[in-house]
Amino acid sequence: MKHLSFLLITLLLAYSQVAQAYPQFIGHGYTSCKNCHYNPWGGGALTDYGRATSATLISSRAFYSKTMTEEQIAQVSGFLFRQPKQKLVRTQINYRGIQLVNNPGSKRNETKRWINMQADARLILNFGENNNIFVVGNIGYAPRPSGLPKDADQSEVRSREHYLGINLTNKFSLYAGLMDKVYGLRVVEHIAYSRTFTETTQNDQVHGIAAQYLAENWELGVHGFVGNLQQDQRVQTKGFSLMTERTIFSEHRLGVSTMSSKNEFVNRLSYALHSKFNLQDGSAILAEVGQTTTRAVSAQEAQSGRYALFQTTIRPTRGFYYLTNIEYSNPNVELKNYTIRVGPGVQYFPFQRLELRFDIYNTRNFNPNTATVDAWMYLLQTHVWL
Amino acid sequence: MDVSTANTRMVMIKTLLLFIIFSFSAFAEVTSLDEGLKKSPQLRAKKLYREDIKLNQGLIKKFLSSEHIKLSKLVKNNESVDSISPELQKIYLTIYADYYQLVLQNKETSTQTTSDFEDFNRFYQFIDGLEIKVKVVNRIYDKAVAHYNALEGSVYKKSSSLYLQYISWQEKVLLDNTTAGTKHKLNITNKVTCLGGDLGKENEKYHFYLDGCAMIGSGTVSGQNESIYAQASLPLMGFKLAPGASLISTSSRSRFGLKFPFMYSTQKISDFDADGNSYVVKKKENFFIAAALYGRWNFKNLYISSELGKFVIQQEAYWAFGLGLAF
Repeated sequence: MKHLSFLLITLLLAYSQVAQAYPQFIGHGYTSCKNCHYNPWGGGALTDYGRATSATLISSRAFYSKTMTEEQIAQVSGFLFRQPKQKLVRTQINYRGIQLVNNPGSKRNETKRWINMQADARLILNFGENNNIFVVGNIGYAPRPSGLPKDADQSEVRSREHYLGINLTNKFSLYAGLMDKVYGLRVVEHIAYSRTFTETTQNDQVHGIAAQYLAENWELGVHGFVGNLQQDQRVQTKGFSLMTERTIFSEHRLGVSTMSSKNEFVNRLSYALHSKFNLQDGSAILAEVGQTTTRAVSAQEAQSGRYALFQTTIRPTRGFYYLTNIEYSNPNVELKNYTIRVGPGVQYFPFQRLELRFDIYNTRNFNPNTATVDAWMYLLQTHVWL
Repeated sequence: MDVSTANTRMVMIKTLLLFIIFSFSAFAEVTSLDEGLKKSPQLRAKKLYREDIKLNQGLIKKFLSSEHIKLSKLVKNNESVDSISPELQKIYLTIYADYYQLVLQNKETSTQTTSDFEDFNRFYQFIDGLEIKVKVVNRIYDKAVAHYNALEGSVYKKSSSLYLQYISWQEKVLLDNTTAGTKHKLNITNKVTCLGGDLGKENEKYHFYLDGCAMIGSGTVSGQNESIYAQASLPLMGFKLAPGASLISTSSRSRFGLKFPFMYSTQKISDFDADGNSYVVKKKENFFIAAALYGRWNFKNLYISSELGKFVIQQEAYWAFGLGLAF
């Protein structure tokens, strides 16, 4: 019965979505996420600087007149195209929808569906000199998992982040509230094995306290958490995580992470090595390899799984990115079965506030004794932020 | 000496003589600074920029040499220039504009192109030191540099690299059960290591190449819907040849594009008997043609590459990741 409850609750939570962090922007020289996001490890609410950067560096300027300067483009990057006249309140609206096609081209197995993945409203309050103290709140739509029983109690409204942040010094900051766990590369791809293995996907935020020390060439983040208090108490994940990164060869980053967590059903220990390489002009390589050891509370034996993420980005022209995701997954290292998923895609920011993305994923299972047919998936994503 | 060479030489000599006579006459007829300054726009209107440079250099030498020498010394010693006569300033800017036009006139790389750009660059260093019309001078300089770099960048140079790839692909095998008269399918998932290189030409923007590698590896075979046959590590050898084209996108020379691999594999499955049934292999491809997306990410001479493609006939997928060294 306990396992059945666990299965149901896991199913409730497993339908993860896309976060909004782009660590590949190290290709533009950003080694840290703190410039653009209130959350210093990336994702969630954008700072004014982050909004201006998305307008002037990330997005194409093909739809702007030649006489419009970058400063003028940056000035209309605020909420509803307005330049903020006060520093206290910031509001943001964020929407992501996706057309998902499984087994495209197959007469028998092709399925298509449109998913409204995210429709969030955010409120940020800034206090103190240089906005040293801030409160970030988020509430939004979260779709019901497709396999969920119709009578299951699952709200379609949830908060993905609400926290208080204090910059105690230029280098040291404290955060308290509901946040993403501090671990590894916070890539945008919610289905990445590096995120599912470690339960760091879009709906895996936890209440806790996090601290960051951000020096010129390195940073350290620690996070103690007690689970998402909005969830069933039995699945609230308690534990801690740690992530540190160092700049190497003046423009690349190398980092390590570890995380220990447990709830009423499972103990989990994860660790990873990651890197971010700046290939100039918006092009970058991200890599993460890690292992997660999971032990069910009722079982004696633990199971270890390994994953790897290798993501490459090329920017042929401003606003346009060509990406390739190469992922490895081996849920049980004692077995020789593993999966490799390869996904090239294009990402286009035609103008500020709009992102269009198309991905193809080919998933291949490797088993010493059987050859299963590949799985294919197309994703067409629309992301709008106001 | 053949007739055509002789004719070419005659034309060159005539052209040179005419140029010398014209250049000399362009300045020789000028008796005053005003007259020279009036003549300059006429030459520029006829796009005779070299002649105009000579005319203006002559005007400096004949009428403004002492001021020019003084200014040259100041610039050479990195000292500030207090004042320049309007006439000399006009002449300097005209010469600068003439050099700029000469740079722009060049539509392909040559020794003349390089020489013109070097002349322009030298004069820019001088006029920059005078600090006159700084914004305009710098804007023109940026445009000239961009034009020259574009010309230089358009030149195709030989490219080559060595690489090691990990390649995986799937294929289907059709079987006939001659005993029961039924048809069956097998899946094969192959993975190989491929050692090879590429040869081609590339400029600043584009890369055209042919790559090839020799591969060795194995595949896992099993029935698609039923367990009629299974084999692990079915060996194969072969090669891959792939013409391709890429768009070079960054200063690190990372690139993406398309390639069209042709692959040959020696892998074979023999007819077999199982559970009292005889199975005959009806179709097992050994040649594959694919269309693939290709990306390459450079760390100086080292690079990482990826390919994802589909076979044209079988519609199965292949992909590859590689590590290479470019020369």
